[in-house]
Amino acid sequence: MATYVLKRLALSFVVLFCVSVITFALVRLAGDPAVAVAGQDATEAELEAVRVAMGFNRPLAVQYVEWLGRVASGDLGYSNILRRPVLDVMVERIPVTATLAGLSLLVAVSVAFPLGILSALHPNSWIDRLSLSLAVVGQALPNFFFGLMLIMAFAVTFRWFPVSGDSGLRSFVLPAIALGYSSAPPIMRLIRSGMIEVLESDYIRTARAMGLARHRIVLRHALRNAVLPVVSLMAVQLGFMLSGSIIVETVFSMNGLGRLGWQSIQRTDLEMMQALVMVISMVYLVLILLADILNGYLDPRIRIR
Amino acid sequence: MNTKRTAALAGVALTAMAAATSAAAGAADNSLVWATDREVNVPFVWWDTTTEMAAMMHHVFDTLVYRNPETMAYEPLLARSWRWVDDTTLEFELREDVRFHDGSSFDADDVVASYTRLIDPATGVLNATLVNWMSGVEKFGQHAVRIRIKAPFPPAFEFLSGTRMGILPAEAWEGLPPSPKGGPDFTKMRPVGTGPYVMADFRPGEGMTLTRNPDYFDGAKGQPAIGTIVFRTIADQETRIAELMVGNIDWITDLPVDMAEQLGAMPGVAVTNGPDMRIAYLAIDRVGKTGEGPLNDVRVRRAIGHAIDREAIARSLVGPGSMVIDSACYPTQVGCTSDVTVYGYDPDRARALLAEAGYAGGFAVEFGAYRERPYAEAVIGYLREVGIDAQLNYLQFAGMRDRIANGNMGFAMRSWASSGLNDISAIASVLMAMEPDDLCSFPEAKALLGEGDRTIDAAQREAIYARALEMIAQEACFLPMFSYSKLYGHAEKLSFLPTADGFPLFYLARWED
Repeated sequence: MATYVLKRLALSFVVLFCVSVITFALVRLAGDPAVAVAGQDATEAELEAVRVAMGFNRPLAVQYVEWLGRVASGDLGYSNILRRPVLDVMVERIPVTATLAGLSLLVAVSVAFPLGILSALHPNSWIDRLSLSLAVVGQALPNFFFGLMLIMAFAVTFRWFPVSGDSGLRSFVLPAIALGYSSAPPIMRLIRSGMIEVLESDYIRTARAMGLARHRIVLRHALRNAVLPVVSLMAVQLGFMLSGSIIVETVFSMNGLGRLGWQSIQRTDLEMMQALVMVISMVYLVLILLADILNGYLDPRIRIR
Repeated sequence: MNTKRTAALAGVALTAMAAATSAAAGAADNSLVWATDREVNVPFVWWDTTTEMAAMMHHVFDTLVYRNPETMAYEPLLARSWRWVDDTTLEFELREDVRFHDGSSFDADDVVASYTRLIDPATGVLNATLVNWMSGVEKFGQHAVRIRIKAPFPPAFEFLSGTRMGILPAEAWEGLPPSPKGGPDFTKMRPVGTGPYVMADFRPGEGMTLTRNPDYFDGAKGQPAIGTIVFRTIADQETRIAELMVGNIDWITDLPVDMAEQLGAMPGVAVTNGPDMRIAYLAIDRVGKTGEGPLNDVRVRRAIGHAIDREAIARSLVGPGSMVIDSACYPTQVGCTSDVTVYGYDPDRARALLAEAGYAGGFAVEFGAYRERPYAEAVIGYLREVGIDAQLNYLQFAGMRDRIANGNMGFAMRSWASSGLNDISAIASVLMAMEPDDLCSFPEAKALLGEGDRTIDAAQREAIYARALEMIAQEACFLPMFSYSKLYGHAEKLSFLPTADGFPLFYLARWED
């Protein structure tokens, strides 16, 4: 088991390194950072002054190595636009994104589990078709559009929830639905197929033959086994939610990491973009690593391979 | 069953009405909430150049000189009076009854400390050209200062009354924590000014709250009426509009034209069309940068002028805030005159001029545009009427500029917003500077405008610009079209002054009964 974990860990570091190189190169294609700092009306002399002051005029490789050294020692950098350390800003905004991701996962799970189980119990019935249509709509509907629909219906017409902002749990309801709904379909489909497979297995037939109550068979014996692959899928979905939050947080004007990312791109805030991509990919890698380890623990065949 | 349903419907209607009443909170508690898509991260425009922060500078801070937004005249604000000592020295007498928000009194030391820091390159002011026309500031008594200017600079008052010239207490500039880039971190200063509003709360990236300054002096800005001004960042346009519809925000700007009608029909919401300093103009190759062709003939350029009904475009396409522009500047700008040769809408005259130049059968030409496509298409339609086949090449701004600069495009619809500066030197002198993308390339006009830019005497300066503008009009290489207009969505009962420079002035706003 230890070798397996070490292998996965090493792989994660390689991925992280590649991400850092790609990020560093990509953000520099996004536009002239000096223009972002000094504004559109700035003269060429003003721009040059900014380039020298911020060190944008030095060779890229030098800038990269310096940055990597700082990141390795835990210093994520200093935003030239916000005039504050990147880490401080991110720490400030984590609670909003974490709450949103948590609630969205809750929405996804509470939609996916009942529908997944029901459609497995009654394959090709009307309920199965209904959940399939919900899944198709959920995956096809862009979440910014779905978010705006929710705003128009529940915030403008009925006025049950605030249009935007992140103060109080009430303002998290619509964004969590917008974000969670798109994550529900894959979880639901996986539960459905897992359940169908498990329900046909011998031990379930045995349980039935023993005369156990139907809900007991379904929820205690079948679901337990069908849910295993779902756990690792949920880890991945949580990662998707971090990126989905860029759009949802922007639409609902929530001051979280996602909107920070969007705004940083808008204003070419290099240090912030780099740090955000690094941190989000790190979270993503940790989630996948955990899922891998969990799978390895649950299924010995995986860790031997 | 039926009565039940009616009762339910009435219930829904009542809830909606209750929500609508509570939504009118802006007027009820005398507050104003406005929102744009941009984040403000530093409470000073010197290190955060957003329009939003620039506008708020006018609320928290005062300047020596005030530009009256209605008359555009320069009036005393923190200064009581001023005089030119010589062409490069201005002397100001300061008011003695002004206090900062922290209670300390305002005097010459604060002006000297603030402006000395702003000029110093080490302070890192971003748009340095807006401050470094000054070379120094000296105390000339407890309530008098002298500002030294590098070279004769007639728009000094436009700059002095601008967003970059706010004054902080002298002590605010001292004792600051070090910045990671070396030197004191000026962004950590307390935003203390003398202005009509106090910065009560600043939330980087989210917004800020200003409260009325109860001890504000009776000066040119008047006493503010609104108690609290809240700025919020809402990145998404539809979300901003939804917030306006439910009454959580009271004022938004840069509304898209297609939303205006719908939004104006909402109860409690109004749409206002205000002026905009940005003007549209046609740039035409005067000297054959793109090779010899019809455009080099002045008669053809004048024919283009006569072919277009600018009044109709301004009125029906751009909106009520727009006006027809006759010279190479915005009419309120100091030094601008519209009293020049004008090529009025007269298609017959246009055809006659074309025939005279030998193009009775018309000609085809590439026509560049980068902003509002419908405006360009309207121009193309009018040109077709007189036989000119203008083929639209719609590009990004940088792409169009490069194409013109490289001599590949000789005819384009362009626009200029003068950076919100109400002085002709921010437009005509900039656009006629014979930069590579200047299609007029007119050395005589450039020389004359440059002379105007250095002449202090107002009457003499105006006369020089008038000559330059007439010269440009005669050549018809810069054909002014119309000014833009700005669309605002706001609470119906909010009364505010739409400004052409893009900086909203909420200390002039109030709630109507």
